[in-house]
Amino acid sequence: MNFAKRAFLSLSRRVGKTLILFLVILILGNLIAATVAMRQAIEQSEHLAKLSLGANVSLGQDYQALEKVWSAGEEPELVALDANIIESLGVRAEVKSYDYTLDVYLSARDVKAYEPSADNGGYAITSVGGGRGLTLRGIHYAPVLLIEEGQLELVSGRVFSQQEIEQGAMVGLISDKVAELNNLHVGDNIVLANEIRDYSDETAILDGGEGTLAETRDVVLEVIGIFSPKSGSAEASATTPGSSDQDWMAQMLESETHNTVFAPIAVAQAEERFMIDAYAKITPDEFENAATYDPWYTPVYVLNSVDDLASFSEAAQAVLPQYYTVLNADSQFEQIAGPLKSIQSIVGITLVASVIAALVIVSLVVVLFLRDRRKEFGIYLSLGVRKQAVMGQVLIEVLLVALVALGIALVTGNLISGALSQELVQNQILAAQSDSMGISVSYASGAANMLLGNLTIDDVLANYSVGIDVPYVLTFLGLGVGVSVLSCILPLLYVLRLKPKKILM
Amino acid sequence: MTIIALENLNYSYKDGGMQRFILSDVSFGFELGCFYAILGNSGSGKTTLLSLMGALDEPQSGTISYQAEDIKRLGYDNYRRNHVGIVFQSYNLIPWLTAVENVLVAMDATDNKLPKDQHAVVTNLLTFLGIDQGKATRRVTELSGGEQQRVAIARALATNVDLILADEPTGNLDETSSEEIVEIFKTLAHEHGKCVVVVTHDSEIAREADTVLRLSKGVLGVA
Ligand SMILES: Nc1ncnc2c1ncn2[C@@H]1O[C@H](COP(=O)(O)OP(=O)(O)OP(=O)(O)O)[C@@H](O)[C@H]1O
Ligand SMILES: [Mg+2]
Repeated sequence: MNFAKRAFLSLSRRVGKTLILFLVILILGNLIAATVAMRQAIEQSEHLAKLSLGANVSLGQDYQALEKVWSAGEEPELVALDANIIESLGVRAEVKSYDYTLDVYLSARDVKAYEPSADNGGYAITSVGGGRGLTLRGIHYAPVLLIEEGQLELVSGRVFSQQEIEQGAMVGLISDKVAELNNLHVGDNIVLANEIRDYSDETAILDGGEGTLAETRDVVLEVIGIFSPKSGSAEASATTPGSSDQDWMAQMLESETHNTVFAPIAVAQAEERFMIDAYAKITPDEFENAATYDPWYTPVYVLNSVDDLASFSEAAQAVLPQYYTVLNADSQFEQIAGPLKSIQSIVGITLVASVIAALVIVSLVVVLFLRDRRKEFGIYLSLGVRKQAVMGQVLIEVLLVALVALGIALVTGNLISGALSQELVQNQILAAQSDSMGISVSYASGAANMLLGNLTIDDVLANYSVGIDVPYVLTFLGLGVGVSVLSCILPLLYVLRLKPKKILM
Repeated sequence: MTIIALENLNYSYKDGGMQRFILSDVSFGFELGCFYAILGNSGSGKTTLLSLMGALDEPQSGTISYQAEDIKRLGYDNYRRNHVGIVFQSYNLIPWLTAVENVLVAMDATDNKLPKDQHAVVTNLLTFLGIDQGKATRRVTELSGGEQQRVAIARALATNVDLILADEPTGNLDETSSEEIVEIFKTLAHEHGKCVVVVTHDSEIAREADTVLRLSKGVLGVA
C-alpha cells in the first residue's frame, strides 16, 4: 500500500470529490487554454505576415517629421539623396542586392497604355495631362530587382546586360499587357514621346487643360524582354470584397506596373535632363538651378534576412540627410497591426488574470479538500509515513486529475478560442478602422512600393489561425500543471507541519 | 526490561496569562511483558501523557527514552514508524480503504523487517483478532465500532513493534466487545512479551491489568 497506490485508490473510491476537482480544473483550463491559444495565434499571424513581407527596405521622406515642421509653418529645405550615400549603403554586408531608380513620365502618343476596364469593376484612371502615359524607369541593376525577387516574371526575351546599363543602351523591358495592346514582340521598337507642355498661357489650361506643346522628342527603345506581374503578388491578394479602398489601391498598382518601361538609368537621366532644360526655357525663374539639378532616385535594398533590418536601419539613419528615413514593410506593419497589438495586450491581461483566478480557485478547492482530509494526513503522520510520501500521494492525485482535465481543455479551449477570436479580431480591426477613418500608411514612392509589398489587414487575418503547436501545448501544460502543483503545496506544507495530536486527539 | 522510560516530563499550556500544568515531573519506567492501565479523572491529562509517549506531541521539558535512547534523537517519525503502535479511542482508520488496506498502510511505512507475503500476514492477524475474510475486504466504514477497533489494533501490531499504546480503546464498545479486547491486550503482553499501556476510565479493565497507574493533579503514581 505505497503512496502511489493510495493515490489511485483515493481517486477511484472518492469519485464525487475527484469529479468536482476535475470539473473545476477543466473549466479554468479552458479559460487559460483559450487565452494561450489566442496569444499564440496573434504572435503567429504577426510573424507570418512579417515573413511574407520579406526584408526589403527603401529610403525616403520622413513624412511624420515633415508634418511637424509644416504644421509649425516652416518650409524645410529638401534635398535629393546623394548617389554616393545610396551606393555606400548598398555595399554593406546586410545587403543582398540593391538598385536605385529614376522615373520619368512619358506620353503614350504613339502607343496604347494599359487601362483596367471599367466593366471589370475597375476604375478608369486618366492622368492630369489627358491621355494615359507610361513611366520610363531607369535602373542601375541589370538583372532587374523586381524580376530577381519574383514580383515580376520575365515571360519572353531577356534582362539587361551590364554593358547595356553602363553604356545607356536604348533598350527596354515592357509588360505583357502593353506588348499585347501594341502588338509588340521582343526585337521590335517601342516609341515613347517626351512631351513638354507649356501651361503658362492660362487659356490653354481652360481649353481642355492640356496646355500647348512646347517641345517634344521621341524615345525609341528596342524591346529586349517582356515581363508580367506574378499572380499571387499584391493585386491578386488584395481583392477582398468590402474594402473598396484596397481595391482601388490594387487597381492603381496594377496599371502602374503594366505601364512601366524599364530602361538603363542613363536613358531616364537623359530624358529628365531634356525635360528640365525645356522647362527652364519656359519658366526660367522657377528653374534657376537647372544646371546643377540632382535626380531624385528611389533606392531599394534587398537585405539578406529580416534580422538584418535593425543594423541596416541604424547605419542608414547615420548617413541620411535630414527628413529622410528608412521605409520598410515593418513600419507599415506597425500601423496596420495596431488593432492586433491592442488585442494582444487584452489577451495578455486576460491570461495573467485567468492564471491568477485559476490559482486562487484551484487553491481554494484543494484547501477545502485537504481540510476534509486533515484527519487522513494526521493518521499517516501518526503511523510515521514520511512527509514526502504524503506529498507525493496528493501531488499524484491532483496531477492525474489535472492532466486529464487539461488535456481535454487543450482541445476544447482551442476550439472555443478559434470560434471567439476570429470574431474578436475582426471586430477590433473594424472598430479601429472606423475610429481612424481608415488606416493611414506612409507608402514608399511608387518605384519602391512593389518590392516593399503592401500589407493589408486581410493579409494579417489570412495568417491568423488558432492551432495546436508545440509551444502552445508546452506553455499551457506548464501553466496548468504549475497552478495545480502550487495550489496544493502550500496547504499541504501547513497541514504536515502540525503535530499529529492536534489533528487526531 | 524497561522498554520506555519517562524522566521528569513537564507539559503545560498557557491559559490566559496563567501557565497551567497538566503533567509535572512525571517519571516512570514501563516494562516489556506487562499490561498497564492508567486511570484518572476526565481532564487529568491521560491522553496528553499517551500522546507524548507516542511522539504525537512534545513535552516542554523532560525526556522519553526508548530502549535507553531519547526518542527525540531517534527521530519522532522514525520512532512512530518503527517502535510504537497506537490505538485511538476514535479508531482513526482511513474510511475509503478496506480493513486489510488500512493495516497495509502502516506496514508500508515501517522499516522493520516483515514477512514477504504481507497480505497473508494481515489476513492472519485480522482473523486472530476476530475479523473474518469477508469483513477484512470491506471498507472500514461498513464495519461495527468493535470491529473497527480490532482493525486499529491489527494496524498497531502489524509493524511488529514491542510497545502498544491505547487511549480508551473500549470507550465506544459494549461489555462483551470490551472484554474481548482486554483479553487481546493481556495475550499480547503475557504471551507475546509486549509492553501494553491502556488509558481507561473503566475499573473493570483496570482489574485485569498487571500494574494500575493513576494520574492526578499532574502526578503519575502506582495506584
Ligand atoms: N494545547 C492545549 N491547549 C489548551 N488546553 C489543553 C491543551 N492540551 C490539553 N489541554 C487541557 O489539558 C487537560 C488534559 O487533557 P487530556 O485530553 O490529556 O485529558 P484526559 O485525561 O485525556 O481527559 P479524558 O478522560 O476526558 O479524555 C484538559 O483540561 C484539556 O482541556
Ligand atoms: Mg482523553
